[in-house]
Amino acid sequence: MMHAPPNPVGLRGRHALIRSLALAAALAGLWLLPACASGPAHMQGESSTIAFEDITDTAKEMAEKLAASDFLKDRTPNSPPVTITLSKVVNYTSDVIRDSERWYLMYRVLDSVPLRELRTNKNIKVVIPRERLEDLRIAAGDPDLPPLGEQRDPTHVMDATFRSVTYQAGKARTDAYYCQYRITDIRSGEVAWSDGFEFKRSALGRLID
Amino acid sequence: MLSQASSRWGEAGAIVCVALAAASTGCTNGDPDFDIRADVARGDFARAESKLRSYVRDTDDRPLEYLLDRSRLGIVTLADGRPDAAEPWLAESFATLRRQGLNENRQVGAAVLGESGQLFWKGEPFEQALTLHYTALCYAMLNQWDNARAAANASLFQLRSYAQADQSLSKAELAQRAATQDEAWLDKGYANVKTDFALGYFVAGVANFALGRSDPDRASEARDFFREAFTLRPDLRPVAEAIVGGRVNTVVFVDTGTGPSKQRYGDDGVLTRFAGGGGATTWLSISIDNNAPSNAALACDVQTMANDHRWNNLEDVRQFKSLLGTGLIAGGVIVAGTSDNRSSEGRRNAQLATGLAMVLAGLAVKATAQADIRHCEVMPASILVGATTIDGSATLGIHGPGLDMVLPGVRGPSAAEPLRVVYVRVPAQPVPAWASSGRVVYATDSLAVRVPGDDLPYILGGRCCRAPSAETLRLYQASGNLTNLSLMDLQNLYTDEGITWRAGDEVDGPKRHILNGGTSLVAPLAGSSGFARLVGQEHPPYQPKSARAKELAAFYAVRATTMPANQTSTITPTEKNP
Repeated sequence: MMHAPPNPVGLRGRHALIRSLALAAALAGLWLLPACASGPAHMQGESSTIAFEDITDTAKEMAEKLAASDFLKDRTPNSPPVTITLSKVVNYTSDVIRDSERWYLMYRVLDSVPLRELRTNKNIKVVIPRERLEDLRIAAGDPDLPPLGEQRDPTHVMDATFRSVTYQAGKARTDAYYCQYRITDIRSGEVAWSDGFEFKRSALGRLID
Repeated sequence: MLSQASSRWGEAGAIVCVALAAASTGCTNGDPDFDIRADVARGDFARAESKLRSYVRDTDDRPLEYLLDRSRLGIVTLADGRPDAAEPWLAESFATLRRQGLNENRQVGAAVLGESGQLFWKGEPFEQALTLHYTALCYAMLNQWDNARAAANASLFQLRSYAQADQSLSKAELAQRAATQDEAWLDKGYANVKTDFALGYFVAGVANFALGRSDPDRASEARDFFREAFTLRPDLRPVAEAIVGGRVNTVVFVDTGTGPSKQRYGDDGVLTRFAGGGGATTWLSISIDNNAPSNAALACDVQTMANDHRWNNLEDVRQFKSLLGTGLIAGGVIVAGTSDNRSSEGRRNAQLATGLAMVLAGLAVKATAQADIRHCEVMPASILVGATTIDGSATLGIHGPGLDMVLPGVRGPSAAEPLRVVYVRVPAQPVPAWASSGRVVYATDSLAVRVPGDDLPYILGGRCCRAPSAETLRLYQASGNLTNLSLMDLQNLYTDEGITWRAGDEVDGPKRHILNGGTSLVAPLAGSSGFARLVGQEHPPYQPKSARAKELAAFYAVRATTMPANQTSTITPTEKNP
């Protein structure tokens, strides 16, 4: 069987054509890649803002601290009655914290101890926050209802303040967050319990894209 | 020889294929939406909002416009007078603007193939600052002063300046300078400088002042921010001093005109500039219940901001430099031109093929590499700030060159609120009658005034668009209407029509108001432009859908023709309480 001799020129031509097509494919791929990857485009990049897990971690940590605190630990069914109301988190950070997250941060901490246990074993009642009374009135949709929450008579208020400090250098940004919770005796102004939780978040990347 | 030539043609073909593919396809989301711009200019925010909602619903098809669509929707909804409905969109915009490196690794593709199909739209720095301003304004209107403070502070980011100290440098001048500099200049030739965003300082001052009622540190911070604001814009000083001195309880933000649009320029349309806006205002006065007016000061001139190179991200200049570096056009012409007659025919063909391919590729790349002109079309031309005192409810007047706007039902702060923020977006001149008459033709829950015809629901031929409540039903029945209906019957009537009356009941977000052809009774805030447009003019009668509503509407239509005509003139709150 006769074999045709190799044709270097033809091979070179074919190789060149393959190279050209490969180049074309590579360029086309480069061009198409961002479009293919553009589905979760808004998720690209990094952020040093408070994330959802920071909210849940903070609430969990503070709930544990409150449960172990002297304020709760030393109380018995015979302790003087305490009625606690909540005030939503005050946000002094560099981030927007939405209302739902702010209330979550408060309710989650107080909910860590079952209300029934608080009432029967610790002589503590929890009443609706003042800001929420208006929401209840609107939800009821009936102006003929008697005024809501007239008997609340809170003795203590639980509030919290979120603060942050920002460090920035070049494309790197770090935000250090500190959240402080307090339970204050409304009449005396005495702080009955206070504790805090801190965390950091960092991000790298151009700020002005 | 033939093979060499064919391989050259193959190479050339491949280059052309890629280039033509790049030219012929690509993202088409880059065109500005001039309908939305026109709707906003007319003051028809509800219509613009409706279209923008469809964009947001199509996020999967418009991932690179994620922020653009949300910021536009938030801004337009806020202008319509519904901060609660605007908040989710502006909160998402804030969170997205706080992300860094959104376009990391995308710049290479963008430089060759155009930005609009490749880059996530984050807006020019001035658009980012203004979006953060509207976020702050929204939270201030919702009495969430701490979030307003966070958003206003975020708008005060540092800027990049390529100018010598105390010299201004327009973006066009910067592009010229960039053309003569080396590649690294854009990345290294700037200095980070403090922002000159007086509006941002002012809003941060307002938010801190409001928080200062319970926190002395914030009161001190407020004074610092106000000082920064009026150092940049001295006209803001009297307004700031009136706030700090406690002589006013309401801060009024007024947007006028249409912001500039982003346009391509230069031979290849590679560079951009902002131009073509109109209706900017440098002074205004505001009055309460026709009393002596007070001055509002210019806090932000958007056109000036947009022209300043420090308020631009300069991606187009970077792209321009990059294209100059590719040499595709010039190189192609040179290669084709050197295929002279002295070369062998095959070589000459090969050179010609490669040269032509490079020219075609260059042209195709140029076609796709046109600058990104996506921009936030809903920005105003100017933002002014005034301050006044409103006890209870009042009619707000806004007066300026060729402008007299009358907004009934503007509310001052309650006893529990430290301040009230009012936001008005002035429609393009000539101002339509609904904006200047102060009329209230329909009754809504946003403004507690009686209106002729408000003793019957709008869906039954009346002029009442209040939510169905025991109080509203009593009002109807006092006029002898709907006497055999219970509150539940009335609510069912609306439910059968698919109409909701509480913001929280609106599945998939807020709906258009029934007066705008929608299915919601939730009206904008009284005193907003959206509210004035909604209730200050006649709308077509409602067309009932359910059998019960049709029956009742027909009954009252017949009764109206057999009874003496009611008073048809409308009243304003001022006329009600002279």
